[in-house]
Amino acid sequence: MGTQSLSARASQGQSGRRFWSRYGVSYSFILPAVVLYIVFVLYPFAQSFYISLTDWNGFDPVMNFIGLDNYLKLLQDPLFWTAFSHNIIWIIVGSIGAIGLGLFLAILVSSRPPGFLIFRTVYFMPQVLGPAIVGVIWLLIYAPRRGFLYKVGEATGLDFLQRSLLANPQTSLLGILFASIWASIGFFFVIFLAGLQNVDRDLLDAARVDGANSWQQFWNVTVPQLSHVITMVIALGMIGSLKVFDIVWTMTQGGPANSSEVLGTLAYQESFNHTHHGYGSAIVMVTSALAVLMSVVFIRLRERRGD
Amino acid sequence: MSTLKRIVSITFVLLVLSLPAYAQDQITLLVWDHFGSVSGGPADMIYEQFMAENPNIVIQREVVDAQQIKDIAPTALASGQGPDLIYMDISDARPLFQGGLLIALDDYAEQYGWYDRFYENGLSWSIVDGQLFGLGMEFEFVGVFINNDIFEREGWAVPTNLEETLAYCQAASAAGYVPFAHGQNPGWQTFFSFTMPLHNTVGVEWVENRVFNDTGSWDDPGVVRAIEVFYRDMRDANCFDPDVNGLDWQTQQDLFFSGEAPLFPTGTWVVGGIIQNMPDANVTMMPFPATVPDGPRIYTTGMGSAWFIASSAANPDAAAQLIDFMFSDFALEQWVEQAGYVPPLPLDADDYELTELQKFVLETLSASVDPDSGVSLGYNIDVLAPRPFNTMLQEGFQAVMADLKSPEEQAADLERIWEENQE
Repeated sequence: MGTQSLSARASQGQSGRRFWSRYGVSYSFILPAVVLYIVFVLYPFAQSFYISLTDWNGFDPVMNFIGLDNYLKLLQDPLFWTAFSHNIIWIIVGSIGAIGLGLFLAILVSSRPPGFLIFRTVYFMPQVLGPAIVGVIWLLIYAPRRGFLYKVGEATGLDFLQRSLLANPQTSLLGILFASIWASIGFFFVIFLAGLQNVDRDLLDAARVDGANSWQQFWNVTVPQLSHVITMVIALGMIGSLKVFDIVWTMTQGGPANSSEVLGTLAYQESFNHTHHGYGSAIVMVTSALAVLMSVVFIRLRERRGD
Repeated sequence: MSTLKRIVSITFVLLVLSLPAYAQDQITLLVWDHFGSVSGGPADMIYEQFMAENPNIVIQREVVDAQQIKDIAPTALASGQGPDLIYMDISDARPLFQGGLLIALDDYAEQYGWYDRFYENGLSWSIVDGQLFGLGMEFEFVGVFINNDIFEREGWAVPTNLEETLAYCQAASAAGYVPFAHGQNPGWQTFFSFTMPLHNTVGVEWVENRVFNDTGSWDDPGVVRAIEVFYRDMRDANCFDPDVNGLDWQTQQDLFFSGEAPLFPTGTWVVGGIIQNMPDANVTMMPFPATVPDGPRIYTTGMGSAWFIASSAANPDAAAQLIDFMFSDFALEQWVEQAGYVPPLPLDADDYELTELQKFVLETLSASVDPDSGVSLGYNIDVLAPRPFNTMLQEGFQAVMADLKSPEEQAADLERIWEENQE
């Protein structure tokens, strides 16, 4: 009663040995990666979560546990909601804009016109630059009184070019988004270019024979076949838009007057400028949760639609 | 083996065996500072001279941007792998000392006689709970630099009060100048665009009471009026570049150095740059124009960056020795003549080769610590304020300048932040 027979235990032992003999090598290959993932991703993540439950200032030896106070504070912080709204704008304008332009450029060169290699290189080139470098380049372009756009405006008499986008709270986020889109088009371009190579030419020819125009061919034949690629790039775009930091910090540090503040810069400001590491960690936790939630929901919706 | 080979071998072995002993005598000091284009040269010379006089001490210098150092210093110091000696802003270092990352320097002050050498006023900026935690090197004050060549060429009078200032701004902007080389990117400049009109409007005593005695309130009507002077009256009179919120420190300096802006509201830390970039220009300094009829005109003073020793320093004695050397006769000559700094100790202008502007700065600061001189300076509030208050100064005044916030709202926010962060 409740005890296993000797033969049952022997059978379990045999199946265990079979499992390891069958999968042991595979697990041993992925084990180093898993260990690294636990040490450098999961453990710091868990530590950050704990810090978000404290009022730690970043250097005191003692962390006082305060429960969910940081999260309650966050919900009532108008600056958090301002930064979050800017990230949503980044998703809509920054990601969708870059994805749309990347797809457009990929379609233009997918037929491998003369100069294809040059076009591919030029479109991809900004992608090799780090976000901070992109920020510095565009700072030089936008700079008041000294920037490239100002000088062009001065030389041509176009007054509107002499006003820096980054100096105006109404346009600062737009200015950064433009720089970000310029830098990220290349990434989406090469992904779509690869995806377009797998579009069935026979279907396109059939559609053309049936009288479909270019737009109809694109929308009814090409886009459905790029469905999985589109899902992936939009998910990546959403995640990237939520965790953006470098380019914003380089160009405006979230200013002027918090007009370009995003969750990343807010977390940095709270953690390192105000030494509110607990609160900064709470912002990071919420950002991470939002990234996971939004991408999972989006992918599930896309998959359901595909079914 | 021949005798010669035996001697060489034994000598070699003895040398190798003595290396660890030699290495143990050698001290390496990791120093973080933010000395830039003007002060970097004098700093290098001082470090080199110190190492020449102390061959057992090697200085490993790392230059960290002044804005960045405050962000990364806490993590670096807390890790135990950070600098032994750090040169940074006092207001940013204060919480680090209170958090145990920096050591008190009282024993070294006794050892080296700092209490006798330095002005009490100069030391007080880096004293908390009766403990000295840093030694300041940049005794400075804030006012308005004047390019007198432009005023003489254009036939303008230098403004002394608000009415004259607004008229000057209209004339200068019509003539194609940027009347005031003021910028608010990244925003620390607002510390002084607030402090200067504030002192002229409410007076030094009011500021002392608010900051040190916790009386009064930042949403006082006088404070609101001070904000209106700079952020409404002067802005609407075209005193600033239209993109003032995007104008950074380098561009501000360029505007003044190039003669595009006749007035430069900032502090004496820029004197070295003025000497370097405008050697032949007739540049003087004045306090901010009076903001009320027959009102005062007050320079506001503070201590810039200071030297601090990390709790994790392997050899704090050597670090203290270097700090003391920073105020030796050799070092003072470099700081005062080349970098334009005024350390907070008695200095005779006749002992140095100084421009008239440098002499003026030195003599004003020296007089300010003499109670019989009649020279009274106000306070750079940012050095005494908690960090969130300074953030509100930066972000809030950017919003006020852009009409996203009223002066009343900003004053109320300053009061709220001040109260929330009082310990």
